[in-house]
Amino acid sequence: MNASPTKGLVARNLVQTYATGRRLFGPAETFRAVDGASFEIAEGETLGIVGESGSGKSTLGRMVAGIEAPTSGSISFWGETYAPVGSAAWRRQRRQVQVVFQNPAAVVDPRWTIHAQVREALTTHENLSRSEADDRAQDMLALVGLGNMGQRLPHQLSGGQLQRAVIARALVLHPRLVICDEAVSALDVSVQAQIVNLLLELRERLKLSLMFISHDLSVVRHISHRVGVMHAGRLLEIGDARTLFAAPRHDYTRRLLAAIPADTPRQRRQRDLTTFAGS
Amino acid sequence: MTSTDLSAMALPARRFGWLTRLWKSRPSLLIGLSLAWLALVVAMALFAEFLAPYGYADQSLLKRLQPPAALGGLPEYLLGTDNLGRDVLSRVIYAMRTSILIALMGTLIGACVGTVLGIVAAHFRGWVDDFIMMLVDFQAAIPFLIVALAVLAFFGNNFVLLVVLIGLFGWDGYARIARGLVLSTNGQGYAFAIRTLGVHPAKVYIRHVLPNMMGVIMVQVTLNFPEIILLETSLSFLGLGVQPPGTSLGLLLGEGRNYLATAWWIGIPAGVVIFLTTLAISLVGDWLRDRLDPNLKGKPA
Amino acid sequence: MNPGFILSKLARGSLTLLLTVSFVFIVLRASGDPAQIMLSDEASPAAIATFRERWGLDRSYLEQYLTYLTAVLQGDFGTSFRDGRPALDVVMERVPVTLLLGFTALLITLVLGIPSGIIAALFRGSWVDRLTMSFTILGHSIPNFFLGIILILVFSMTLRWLPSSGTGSFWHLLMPALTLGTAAAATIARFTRSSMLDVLHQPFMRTAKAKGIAHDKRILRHALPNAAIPVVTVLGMRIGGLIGGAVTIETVFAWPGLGMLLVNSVNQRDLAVVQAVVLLIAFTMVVVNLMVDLAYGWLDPRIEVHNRRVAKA
Repeated sequence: MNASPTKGLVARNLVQTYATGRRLFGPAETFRAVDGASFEIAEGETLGIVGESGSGKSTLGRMVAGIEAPTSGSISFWGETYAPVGSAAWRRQRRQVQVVFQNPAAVVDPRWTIHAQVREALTTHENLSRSEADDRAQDMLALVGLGNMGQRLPHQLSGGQLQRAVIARALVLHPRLVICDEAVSALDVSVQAQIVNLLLELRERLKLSLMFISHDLSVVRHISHRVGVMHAGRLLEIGDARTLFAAPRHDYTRRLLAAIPADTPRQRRQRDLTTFAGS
Repeated sequence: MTSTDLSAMALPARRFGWLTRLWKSRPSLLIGLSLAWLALVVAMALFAEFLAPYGYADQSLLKRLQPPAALGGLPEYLLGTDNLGRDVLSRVIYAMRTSILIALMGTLIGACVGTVLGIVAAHFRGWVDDFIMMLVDFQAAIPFLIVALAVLAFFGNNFVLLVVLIGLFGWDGYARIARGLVLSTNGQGYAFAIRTLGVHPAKVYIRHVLPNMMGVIMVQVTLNFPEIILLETSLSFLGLGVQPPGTSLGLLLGEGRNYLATAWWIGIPAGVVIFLTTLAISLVGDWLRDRLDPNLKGKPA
Repeated sequence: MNPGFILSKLARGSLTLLLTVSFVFIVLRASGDPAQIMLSDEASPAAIATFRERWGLDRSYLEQYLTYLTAVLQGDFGTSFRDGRPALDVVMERVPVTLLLGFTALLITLVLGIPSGIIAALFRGSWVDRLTMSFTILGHSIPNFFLGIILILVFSMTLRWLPSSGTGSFWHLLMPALTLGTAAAATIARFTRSSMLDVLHQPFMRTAKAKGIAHDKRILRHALPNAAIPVVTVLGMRIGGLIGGAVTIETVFAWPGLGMLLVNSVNQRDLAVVQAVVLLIAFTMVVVNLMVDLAYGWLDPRIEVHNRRVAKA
C-alpha cells in the first residue's frame, strides 16, 4: 500500500452471494456474484475494473458504493466503515461516495428540471438558502457544460447531456469517491469521449477518487491509473494500467486484451504474435 | 400468479407532456357526449338545490303516480310522480348527489389506502410485502358484495360504515399498481438513484414517486369508479345501502321495482342515469388510457 | 406440473379460507355480544347461557377463536333462529337452485362470449367487430339489476311472454340466467378478442402460414389453444362476479337461491345463516381459483417458471 490507510478506500475479501431460488425443502440455492475481492483506491486515484457482463463487476461497484452490504468482507472508507444501508448515518455518508449509472434517462425524475434535481442533492446535505442553493447548482451545471440548460426537463436533453446532468448531481455534493458503473457504455462513441474527458478534468479539479467500471477496455485504459480484471466473481489481477495492458500476467486478461480493436494493422499483427507466443 | 410483479403495468413514468398530448388529441363525438353527460351529472350533484324543481321529500298526495309529462302527465312533473306524489326528476337529481358523493369518497379512500399499502409493500418487501399481498389476494378472491353484505348484517347499517366499506372495495387494484411501479423504480430506476444521493425514502416517495404515479392511478380510478357506483347502487337496491328518507339511485330503482306494472317511471329513470354514468366513465376511461399509455393500447381493461 | 406448484396453490387457498374464517370471527366478536346477535332478541336466558357455554364466551379470545374454528371445520355454523334448524342445512338446500342458475348463466357466458370474441378478432375492424365491441361496452356498463328490471318490464309486463319471478320451469330460468350471463359474456368477449389478436400476430402463426398449413387448421390448432390461456384466467375471475351478481339477480327475479337467502337473512339479521353463506361462498371461490390455476398450469407449461421467484440480478 502506497497511500496511508485513512486516505482512501480499502476493501478486504468482499463476498456477495445471492439466493437464486427457494426450494421447498433443503437449503436455498445461492450464487456467488463476487468471491473474495481485495483492493485499495488511493485518494485522487482512478481504479478501472474490467470484465465481461456477469463477471460481478457491477455488484462489486455497488458494495464499494455502500449501496449493498457485502455478505462478508470489510470496507474501510477513509478510515470509516459504512453504516447499515438506509440508516440515517448511511444517508449522511452518501455525500462522500456517489454513483454514476449506465442509463442516465432511468435515474432522473422525468418531471423535474435538471437544475431542481441537482439542487435537491445539495439541499439534502446542506442547509442553504434558496438563492445560495440555486447558485451552487447552477455553478455545478456550468462546470459540466450545461450552464444554460438548467431549466430543461430530462427528455429535452440528449443522452450525453443527461449523463452530464447526472454527473453534476453526483459531484455537487463534493464526494471523495465516485463509482462510474458503465457510465459511458450507453452513449455514442464521440459522446463517450466527451464524458470521459469531462471526468478526467473534474477528477483533477475536485481531487476525486474514481472507480471506473466498464466492459470497454480501451476506455478503461484511457482513464485509469490502475486496473483490476474481474472474471466469474473473482478479481483475477490488479495492477498499474500500463503494466497490466503491456504484460498481462493472467491468461484470461491476455484473451480479453486480444479482443480490443487495434489502432493500426501493424499494432494488431504485433499483438497477435505476442498473444500467441504467450499462450 | 397474483403476486408477481406487474412489470407490464409498471410503465416508466411518461414525460411531463402527457397533459399537452391529452389536450391535443381530439376526442370523438362519443367522448364529447360522455364528457358532457359527466359534466351534467357533476353539476346536478353540486347544485341539486337549484336545479331540482322540488325537494326530494316533498309530497303531494293528490298528485300521486302521475306519468311523465310527455306521456300525458301533469306538465309541472317532467318525469311524473311516485306513490307518495314526490317529483321523480327531483328525486333522481338528489339521488345523483348521494350516489356520486359516496362513490367519490369511496374512490378516494380506496385509492389512498391502496396506494399507500402498495408503496409500503414494495418499500419493505419481506413479510410486510407477503402480508399485504396476501390481503390483496384475499380481497380479489371473495366477491366484495358478499363481504359488504355480511359486515352490514353484523354491524347494522349506517352511513359512515357504508362509505368505509365502499372505500375498501377496489383498494387491491391500486395496491398492485403502486407496488409494481415502486418495485420498478426502486430496483434500478430514479427512486433508487435519488435515494443513493442520501434523500430520505419518505421524501423520495412524496416528491418523486407519487407525482409520477398519478397518471396510472387516474386510469385505475376510471376503472374503479363505475364499479364503485355499481356496488353502492346494488347495496341500496337491495335495501342494505343508503336508507330512506335518504335517496340513492339504487334505492330509487329498488323502490320503483314494486310499481313496475303500474308506474314504471318511478324506477327506470334512476336506472338509466346509473347506466349512462357508468357507460360514460368507461368510455372516457378507455380514451384516457389510450392517450396516456400508448403501451396499453389494444390491451383489455 | 410439479407437486410444489400444486402444493403452494393449495397452501394459498387454505390461507384464504383461514383468513375468511378469522375475518368472520373478528366481525362477529367486534359487532357486540355474539349471544345476543346470534340468537333472537326473545331468546330465553337459559338459551343464552347454553350458547355462551357452547362457544366458550367466558374464556379468552384465543380459546374462543379455536372453538369457533373447530366448529366451522366440523360443519357447525350455528342455528338459524328463523326456523331453528342448523344454518348449514338451511344453506345447503338452496345450493342446487343457485347452481342451476349459475351454470346456465355460465353456459350463456361461454356461448355468447367466446364465439363473438373470436369472430370479432378474425374480422378485426369490420362492422362485425365494431358491433360486438359496442355490445361488450354496453353489457359491461349496464347494472345487472337494471337489465333484469328492463327485461321484466318488456317480457313480463308488456309482452307477457315470460314469468317475472319464481322458479319451476325453463321459462322461469331464462331471464335471470340471461341477465347474469351478459356482463360476464361482455368481459369474456373482450378478452377473447384481444387474446386472439395477440396470438394471431405471434411469429409462430406466420411460421404456420409459411409451412402451408391451411387457414382453418391454423386457427383451430394453433391460435385457439394459445388464446385460451388468458381467457381461462378471466373466466375464473368472472366466477366471483357471477356469485356476486347472483345476489342481486336472485332478488330481482325472486329466485329462491343462496343469494336471496343471504339478502333475506341480512335483512332479518339471521347471522348464523349469513356467516354460513359467506364461508360457503369463500370455499367455492377458493376451489374455483385453485381449479383455474391448475388449468392454467396445464394449458401453459411455462407457468411454473413464471411463478418462481426470480433472484435479483
